[in-house]
Amino acid sequence: MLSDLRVGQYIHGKSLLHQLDPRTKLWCLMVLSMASFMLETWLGIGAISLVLLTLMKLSQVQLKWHLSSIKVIWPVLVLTLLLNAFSIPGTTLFGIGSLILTTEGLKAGLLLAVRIVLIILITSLFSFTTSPIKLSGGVESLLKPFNKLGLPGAELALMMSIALRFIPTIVEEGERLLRAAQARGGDLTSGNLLKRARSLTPLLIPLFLGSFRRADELALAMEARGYQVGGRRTSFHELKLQSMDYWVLLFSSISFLALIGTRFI
Amino acid sequence: MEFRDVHYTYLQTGPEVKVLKDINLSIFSGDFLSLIGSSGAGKSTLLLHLNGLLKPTQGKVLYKGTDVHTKDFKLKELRRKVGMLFQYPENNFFGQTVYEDVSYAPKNSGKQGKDLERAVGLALERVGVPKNYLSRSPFGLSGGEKRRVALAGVLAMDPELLVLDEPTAGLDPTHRQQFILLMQELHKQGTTVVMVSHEMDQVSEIGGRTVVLEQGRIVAQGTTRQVMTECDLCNWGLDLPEIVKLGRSLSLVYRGGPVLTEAEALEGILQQRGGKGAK
Repeated sequence: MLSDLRVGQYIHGKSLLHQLDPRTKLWCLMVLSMASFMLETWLGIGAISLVLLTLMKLSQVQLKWHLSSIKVIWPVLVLTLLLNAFSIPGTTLFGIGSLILTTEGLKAGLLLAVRIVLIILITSLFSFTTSPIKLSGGVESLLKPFNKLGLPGAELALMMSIALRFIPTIVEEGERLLRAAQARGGDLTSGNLLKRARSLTPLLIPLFLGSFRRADELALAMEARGYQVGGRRTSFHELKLQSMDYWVLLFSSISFLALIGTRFI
Repeated sequence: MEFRDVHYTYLQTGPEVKVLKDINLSIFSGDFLSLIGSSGAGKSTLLLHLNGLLKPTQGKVLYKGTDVHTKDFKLKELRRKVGMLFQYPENNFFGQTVYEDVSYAPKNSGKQGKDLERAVGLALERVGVPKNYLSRSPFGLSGGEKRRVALAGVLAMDPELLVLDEPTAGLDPTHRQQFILLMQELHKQGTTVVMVSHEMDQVSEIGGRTVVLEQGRIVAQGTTRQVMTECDLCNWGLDLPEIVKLGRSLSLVYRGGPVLTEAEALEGILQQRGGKGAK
């Protein structure tokens, strides 16, 4: 049910991808996602899929985990495909009344759906191989230059890591509440969408209350351990780029520049 | 009414953790069954099978002889008959007022108007919460009151079988005692009770039957007297009730066997003294 949600989860491992510096991976994440939207031919999409497949293999994360992250957005994909296929004008493939399916629309919809799949796969690959601690460390270090401009990088990174940390907790809590409601005869799985949504509303009260309570406790625990906003903090795991990181950065940057180059030639 | 022949095998969650293995267990009408075991032994998982919230990966859960996971079986009916109080139930309040929360279950079973009001009133009366609490927010009550309101929310369904997961965890000794007395009272009125507990003293005072779960297996079951006095609970990371320990070290005897409750220990001590005095 809810626990099938794999987006944003970290899977422990020792693969090459796990060992890369989070900043390197953030850069690659950006490059790959931008590339999948810049490439417009099926050849280009094929090439980037091949790169992604190689990376997925390298990550040593089981295929079913990757698949499960697509499973969640399945309805979005279908909707994207249909909306495009029926709304973009072009050669008519077939039509039902005012609804006209066009070849151009079908192509565009398919391309967009594949791109969404790629983005999801890239992002989940990133989160599978990057522990939340490393991720927030990476973000913090990337935001450091903006500190002078008054951007609280460390606090932002902390907020992000706390948010990530509590996703599974809240999912678990939601599941517990669902069970409690079902145990008391709550009918949450039948009826139309509206009816189901209405039967879920009572669950929101305890869910929010629980979150607020937890936030309170967390703040207290952090203060008890001497946390201060704006305080200088050292890190147990110092991030340092290895030679592998430099190679990856160099390679990805060159490919990206080349890609931009081809667009202007 | 009878709840009979509950039988489960194997449960796999997530990355294939076998939480329950070869569970064979019967719960009879009128039982007071205590489920004990160290943390992570699978007690709560076992409970979730009792009203069909979890489906066994192997084996069957039977209610009065019918498998509860067959198509014709109405799980909703079962859930109406099996009242379940979860761990820390005060985190699961659904209503903004006590009335709203307690009426959640009977409303779901189709009660309306006067019937609904009567069910809520009766449930609150059974747990000893005064009527003027009806319009208060359940979140603003004290710990002991919250727990009782939560129990009322379950009792409002008028369940045949009451399932309690560590019902007294986090309560102070007075409230704990009150809660146990309340459950014994409900049991006397004919409700079958299944309870998970970490407090051996509680279990021994209650009596009834006891099942010991260890790493997903039932390692011992029988009357509480048998389990507490004949088995070596220390092997399973559990402690003996204080009274049983006392009884052992003083070699107290009650009706020819080891003592289990405070009252029996008292009797044993008097007997021992009396015996010596006579000699």
